Order: sequence, then structure tokens, then C-alpha cells
Amino acid sequence: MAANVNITRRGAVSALFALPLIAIAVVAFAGTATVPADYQSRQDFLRETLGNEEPQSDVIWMQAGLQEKAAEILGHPFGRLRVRYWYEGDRTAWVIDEIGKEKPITLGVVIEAGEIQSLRVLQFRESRGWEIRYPFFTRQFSGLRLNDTGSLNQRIDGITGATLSVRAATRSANLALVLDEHVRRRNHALSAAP
Amino acid sequence: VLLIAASGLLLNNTDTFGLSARSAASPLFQKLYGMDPPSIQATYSANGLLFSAIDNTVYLEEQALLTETSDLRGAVATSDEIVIATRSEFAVLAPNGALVERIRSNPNTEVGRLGAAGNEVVADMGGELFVFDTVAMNLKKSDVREAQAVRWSTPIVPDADRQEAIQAAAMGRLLSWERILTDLHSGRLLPVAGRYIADITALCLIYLCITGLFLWFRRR
Repeated sequence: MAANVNITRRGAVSALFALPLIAIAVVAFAGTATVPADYQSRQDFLRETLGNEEPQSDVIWMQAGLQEKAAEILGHPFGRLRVRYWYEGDRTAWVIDEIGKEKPITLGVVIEAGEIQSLRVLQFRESRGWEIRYPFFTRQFSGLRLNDTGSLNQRIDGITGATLSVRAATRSANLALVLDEHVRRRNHALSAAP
Repeated sequence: VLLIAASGLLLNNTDTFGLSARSAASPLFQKLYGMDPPSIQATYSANGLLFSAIDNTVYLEEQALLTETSDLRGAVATSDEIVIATRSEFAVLAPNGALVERIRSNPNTEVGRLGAAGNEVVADMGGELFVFDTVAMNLKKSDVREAQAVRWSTPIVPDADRQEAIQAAAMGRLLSWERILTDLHSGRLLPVAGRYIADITALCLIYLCITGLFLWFRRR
């Protein structure tokens, strides 16, 4: 019994000295990675997704109602009066800049018939969270639509350490779907007009 | 210890308190960080508004207008809008300066100069002139010749007060409360001793935890 107590005491005393040393080692070797990168140009994105480097484009003027809706999704004012999209048949492509933590992430979203076909990270400028560029994350968006409340109809799984980038991508996808819906309604109203 | 705990708590809630967007620029912090006012790379005027470039941001008066951009090349006003160009992108603004749209130019081309010929916006790209279409947001080869007197946008020097105000705004963007708290938390706010003080404090906390557990265990 006495031997056991001695061993435990010795272990605890060793820990008293070892832990501060481990802490110093952790502090000394800790570092951060910075990976700002241009993954794809807008032209390449459009060529790959719509089959044309400069497909037809049109704009939406962000009227008050749409500005409010965009601000609600993004959590901050949209900040522009006009948003451009490119299209080929029923397929629309959107290039959206959204802040992750401090810097804008440029995302490309392709939508067909109200459903996201693909989402890509075109430019990433933050120092962390670049993992969102990988297909294991971006393919979660394929097939997503708007639900009745105007949000994405499925939850997006996060990535540890990339929470803010994941949120930025999710908000951008949501905004692109709302804007696409606006375009489809507008086109429908125009085609129905006498 | 209190300072580290409180700053840690605040840092864990930066989004809630909007600390990354809050400017902490003040003469005290400026001195502490040894920061000189950032230099204004170029200022252009259009429609009575000043557009200045500092680092990779273009300011409209004292407000950041375009972030993460490149060198400012010019600003011109047409009858119903303002166009500004950086080396790699164009931005169309309403006459009051509200941002209408911005678009990056082709990655293989660089804007050299920006000017106006009548009501047309002209960009000089590698010696070739292009007309910038503010609706389609694209460039078309121009028949405008230099001889037809393109009014090229030229840099101006704002008066000292305006310069100071623009630099103060830029400083505010560089120095946020999140930056201050991060450096306070890590001890880097004090040049040399700070980091050691923070490390010693952290080690003391670990030591207290361990010795506390040890004493508690021994009493049992």
C-alpha cells in the first residue's frame, strides 16, 4: 500500500515538472498557415460550367425588397445596387464575394431549375478555412433548393476550424438561389405578359 | 490572470461583439504599435468625389469602397455614372458614389490608364485602347485614337486635412479591437516582456491546477 502511494506521489511530482515543459514546447512550436489563393478565374469557371468563357449575361437591380432579403441572408448590407449573372438556357451562374472572417471569399454557384448544380471556391483570401474548396465540402451543395422559408432545404455539415468560411459559403449559396428565383419569376412574368 | 481570462472571453465572442470591424486606432495604440500613417498611393477625383488607394483598398472619401483590389488607375465621370479602374478591375458607381457593380477584368490584361472620350469610358491596356461598356461590364476594342484627345484621369494631391482623414480611416481598418485583444491575450502588446509575462501567467495557471489537484489528492 505504502509503495503504491509512493509511486503515485512520484508520478504527480514528475507531472509538476513535465507539464510546464510540455506547455513551453507547445508555445515554441505553434504556428499558423496562410494560404490565400486564386483557384479559378471567372472566365474558366464560366467556360467549365456554362460551356462558354463569356456567355450571355444579364443583371438584377437590387430593389429595396431584394436588398432587404439579401441583407437578411448575409447578415450585413449587400452593398451593391446591381448584381450580374451569366446564363445558358435555364442554367444560371453567379459569382458572389462574401466575407468569411475578414476578407471576401469569391464563390461561383451554378443553378438550374431552382437547384444548385455546383458550388466552387474561385478565390480564397482568408488565412484559415480554405478546406471549403475541396469536393468533400462543396458537393454537399449539389441538389440543394430553397425551402418554404427561403433558406437552404438541407443542413450543411461544417468543418472544424473553418466555421466562418463554411457559413460564408452557405450564405452565398442561399443568396444565389434567392437571386435565381427572382430571375425565374421575372422571366416568367415577362413571358406571360401580352 | 484576470486580463488574460477577460480578453480570452471577448476573443471567443468576436463575432457577437463585432470586434474585428471595430476600429481601435488611437494615438496611444498607434505609438505602441509604432505605426506610421499608411501612405496614400494615388488619389483621383470624379464628380467632386475623391478616390484614394491605400494598400489594397480604394477609399471613397474616408469610406472603404473596394477591398482586396490592386493599384488605382483612374476615376472618370460620365453623364450618369462614375467609373473607377484599378489594375485588375472596373467599378461602376452612381453619381453619389454608391457602388453599382464591380467586375474583374480578364486576368491576362492590365489596365494602364482610364479616361473619357465624350461620354465613353476608355481604358488603355498595354498600349491598346478599349471602350468600357458600363452596362455589359466588358471591354470592346476602341476606334478612339489618342489624337481625338481622350481626357485621361490624372492623380491629384488632396489638401493636408483630407489626406489625414483618409489615412486615419485606413489606420482604423488596420487596427481593430480584435487585433488589440489578441495581442493583449498573447502578451504581444508589450514589445519584449509581454509574451514572457503571458507565458509565465499561463504556466502559473497550469502549475496552480496541478498543485491544487495534488494537494486535494494528498488530503484524501
